[in-house]
Amino acid sequence: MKGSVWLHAALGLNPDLPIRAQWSRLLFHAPPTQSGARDWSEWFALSFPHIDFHRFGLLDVPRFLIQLLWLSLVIPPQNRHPSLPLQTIRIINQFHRRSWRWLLATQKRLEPLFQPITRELESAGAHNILGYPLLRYSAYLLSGTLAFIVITTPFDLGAQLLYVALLWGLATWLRRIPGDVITLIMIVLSLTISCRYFWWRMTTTLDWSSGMDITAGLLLLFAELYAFLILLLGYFQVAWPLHRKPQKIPVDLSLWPTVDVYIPTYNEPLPVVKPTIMAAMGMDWPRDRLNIYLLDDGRREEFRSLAESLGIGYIIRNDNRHAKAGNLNNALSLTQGEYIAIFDCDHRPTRSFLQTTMGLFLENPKLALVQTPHYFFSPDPFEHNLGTFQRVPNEGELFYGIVQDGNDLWNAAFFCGSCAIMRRGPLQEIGGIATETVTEDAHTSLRLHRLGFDSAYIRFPQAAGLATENLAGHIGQRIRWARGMAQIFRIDNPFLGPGLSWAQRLCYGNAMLHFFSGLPRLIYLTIPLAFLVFNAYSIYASALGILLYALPHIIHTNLTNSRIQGHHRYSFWAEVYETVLAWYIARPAFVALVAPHKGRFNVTSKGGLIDRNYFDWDISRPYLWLIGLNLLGLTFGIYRLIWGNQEEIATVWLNLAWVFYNLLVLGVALGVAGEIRQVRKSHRVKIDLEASISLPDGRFFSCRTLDCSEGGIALSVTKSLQLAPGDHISVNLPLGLQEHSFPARVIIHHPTILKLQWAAMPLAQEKTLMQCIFSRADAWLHWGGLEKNDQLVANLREIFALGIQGYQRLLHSAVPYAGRQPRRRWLGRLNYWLPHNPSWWTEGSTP
Amino acid sequence: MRKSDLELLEPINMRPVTAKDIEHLYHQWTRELDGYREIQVYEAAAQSNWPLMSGAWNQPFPLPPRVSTSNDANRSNSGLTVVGSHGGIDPTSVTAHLTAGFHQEGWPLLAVDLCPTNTLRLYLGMDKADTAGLATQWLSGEPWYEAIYRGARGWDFLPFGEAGPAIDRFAASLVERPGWLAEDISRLDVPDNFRVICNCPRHPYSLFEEGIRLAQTILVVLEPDPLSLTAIPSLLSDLLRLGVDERQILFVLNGFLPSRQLDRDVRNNLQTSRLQSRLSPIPVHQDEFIREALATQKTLFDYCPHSQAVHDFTLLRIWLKARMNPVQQPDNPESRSA
Repeated sequence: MKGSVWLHAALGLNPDLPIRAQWSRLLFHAPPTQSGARDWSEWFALSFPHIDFHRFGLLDVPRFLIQLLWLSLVIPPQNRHPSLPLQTIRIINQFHRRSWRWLLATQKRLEPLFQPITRELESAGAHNILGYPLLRYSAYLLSGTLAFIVITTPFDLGAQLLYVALLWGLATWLRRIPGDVITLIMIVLSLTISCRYFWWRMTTTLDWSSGMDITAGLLLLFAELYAFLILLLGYFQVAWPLHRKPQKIPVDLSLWPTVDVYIPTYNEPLPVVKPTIMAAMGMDWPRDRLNIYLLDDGRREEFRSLAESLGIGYIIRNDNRHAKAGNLNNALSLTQGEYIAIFDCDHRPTRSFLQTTMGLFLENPKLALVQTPHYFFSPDPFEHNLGTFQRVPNEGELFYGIVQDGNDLWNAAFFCGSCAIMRRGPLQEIGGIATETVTEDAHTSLRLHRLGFDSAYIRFPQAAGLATENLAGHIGQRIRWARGMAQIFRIDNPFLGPGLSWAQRLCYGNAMLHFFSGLPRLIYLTIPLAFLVFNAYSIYASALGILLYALPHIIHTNLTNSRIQGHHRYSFWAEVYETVLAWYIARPAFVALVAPHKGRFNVTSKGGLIDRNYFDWDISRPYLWLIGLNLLGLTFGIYRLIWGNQEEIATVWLNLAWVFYNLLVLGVALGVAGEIRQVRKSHRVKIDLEASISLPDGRFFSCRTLDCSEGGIALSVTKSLQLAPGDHISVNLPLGLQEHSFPARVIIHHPTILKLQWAAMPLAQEKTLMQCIFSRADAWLHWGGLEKNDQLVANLREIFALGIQGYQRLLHSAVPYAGRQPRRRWLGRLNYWLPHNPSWWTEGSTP
Repeated sequence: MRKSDLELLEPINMRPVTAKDIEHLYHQWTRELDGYREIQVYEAAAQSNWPLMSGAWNQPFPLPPRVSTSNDANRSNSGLTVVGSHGGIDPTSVTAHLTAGFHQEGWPLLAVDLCPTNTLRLYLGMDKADTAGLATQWLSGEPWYEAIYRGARGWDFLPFGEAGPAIDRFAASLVERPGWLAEDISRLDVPDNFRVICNCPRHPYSLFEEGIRLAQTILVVLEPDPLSLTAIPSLLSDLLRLGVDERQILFVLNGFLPSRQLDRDVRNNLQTSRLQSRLSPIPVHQDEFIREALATQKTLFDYCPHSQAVHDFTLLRIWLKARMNPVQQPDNPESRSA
């Protein structure tokens, strides 16, 4: 008895445990948790998770032994002491978390102190005292002088370090405080740092003595100055978004004006156009004052008969001159409505579109245009091929979420070709839609503004459309925009000519200059080679100097943009979007600038499908070249690291980091070029509505809609129904205050999900169905509301992962057998022999 | 008070109403945008061309002279009376499911059946052979409250009873002394937030009047047929004559089938009428499960909790809760002791 107690004590065992638990403790170092809860055989099975003891084979003997050895050697994670680096990271993390908590708490405590200050600041701008020109201009002069001093005073590196650290601390603190004034302060901080960088950059880092250096230096400086100009204009544009609210329209229906709705089409298939017409017919507007016209430049018989059977207007013309603009102008001369609403043939308006926009017109007689966002309910090639749909804001979201809203403050919101409504009078005054350029929309609104008319922008989507379905189409569309904007810049430059306010000039100027980003982006993607390969100093300074001047400039720009653009553009994604387009828009933009009348209108194709996975080699050729160049740089850089001049090691590292970042972004571009199969004919729209299904026997079940399209619907039901594929049932969907019933056929019936296909129905019922899907006033209001905030580090991680994935996809397409399958098989074979962690390790805590 | 001797049932399987439901409903009712007009509904209503349905029912009419009664002060009883819009409509299923629902919510309540058809008891779990009830009790001279029956789920209700030809005598007592039942009920020793839910017939008038006196809020059950619409004016004038606050007259559409054109048109007509603000946004669908549940002698909530009817009744309950006045505290404590 006593002996056993001694033995237990010597072995460090608890005598109260059952024998098998003691044994396992001796064998496996770690006691199985919750001792006694399981019997011995269960523990055994859990300790050998990869071995099936019921079918124990010969090969399992060595596997058993390997696992036994593993179990006796390895300490389970919860008993392990963390390694030193891991501990350090943990401590740093803890410190970081604690300091953040402290910072936030302090901020919260100081908030009541700050609120009156920000309120004062906000009202100070409107103070009478600023009405005195002398006072105002002396204030400008004073702040200008101060800014000049701050920007130009030379610091040594230590002082510069202190300075940027202080400003960075201030910015990281401020960015958590809400309010537009704080945004302005962040902008001022960012501009100060950036100006200081450019002053330093232009005065001390250009080496005029060497031809190579100065060429590379000026090239990079050009790209940087371009980016700075766009940043400056961008800050100006978005500093104070207007968030305009719709105005109420009169109660008296007789005061509501007549509206013509134009749906221009050229070669789009009928299934794309039909829902648009039907949704447009569902707009809540007195029927006798709403006329819908299908403007068919394709002159197709099926479209004519559809228009006839739906009872809408059908307008064609003899030629296709000036493409969409000509088409619209032709219709303009044939109809009489006081207002013209224009929808691309895939943009399905909600029923509230006219009621939300018309109030503004009735309030302001000078208003000529109300634009609403373009929302796309299908993924664009980025979202589709990278798998970021409704997870990362897409390319257009920055423009419609922030930029147009910022433009609106300066009365410079411009026409985007669709989802807009215009007053006929002003439009006829400028001679209809502009036909001189391929971006007739922006040019039209520019002309309206020149004549002193107003424009407005309402920030919530009142229509939804289809995004371009592949990268080639997307790039084609952007080339057209770039060419068109460059054309306007050349023939009707917003900085010149009469009629515009200076703010409008800046807003339009930024919109156009934005499309010249191709060349600067290409410079960024290649300039590290100048140093790595040719040893040319594009920035003639020490690596430490570059870090202390350039890095704060980049960080502050990102911090400020992240605050302003927040939900609408995640950090680093601008680089991805620009990189994909850089090569393609660089040339057309400059060609159009030189010869504005070259080039034709190309129609953006939509609603198609991609029937197999493929890698678009044609589109990705420029990326491959750029990758090749960067890889060359990488090789040279590694060579120089090992055998190069030791004094330049820091600079080499810096340039290598740059090359690495370039490679990552290019990898993401490759990922976009790897087109993924897309076979669904109609895109599903996520809808969460209460609905019901009724069976032929009169029973009704309540359900919720999951998604819905022209083809079918998916419902979530709480109970498994006795239905088989092919059964006919009815789905009852709400539409505002009404409820409608639609016949459908069961496709798949999971226990809780019911997938149905619409059965054939008469045209009138189909129209109601389309209105149920697309016409709800709140259908797209979730837009711009991605719940996740912009997180710098998380985004960088995502870009990293997507970049790697892009290279994997390239490898897979280039060498068909180098893909994942064989490697996985090999890993699987290895995995067969390797020991496995027993299941109880991961089961949770020690007792 | 007798208790049912059924064995203890499992807790009722009813879909809980979440905050999200309510939010969603309000979203749906208030529309998404301020000042938004549902032109389409108006146009659909205007387009529907059914001569019988057009006409005077939608027009406001002169207020009838009020009949002043001795017990107007007793109208503080914040109950609910469910009545059909005309004789052909049986409101019993709506009453029964509201009773079950409100009971589940924890309201202390008493369901009173004044319909001589005496069918509420079948919905609420009384044995079909048991013919006792209010009328029979009164006719035999016993205290009426001894006829209160407690259902298997714990709700209390007062069946009407099978009175046979003697029903006329019972009705006559109500003509003789109007409001005696309401008065008696207000003397019961009940919690403060106690409510009466009354299943009220449209005819005979004496029973109708008694039912209306029992509660402050009137829920008029309509059916999606033209007769319901044409019956509205006479019902309204009867109710107003009895001193019911017009804002407390609510409407619900029962037996709605979205696949029928006429049903949709009746609903559109109601939604664009002057009754619009008092019409339940949720119609009760003509769900076969309601009949099946009755036939199996289970409550609908037990029989098929996933049915649309359960959903409809749940939402109707939420809407009623929002529309009914909050419970009023009795002024004098004496009235509470019977």
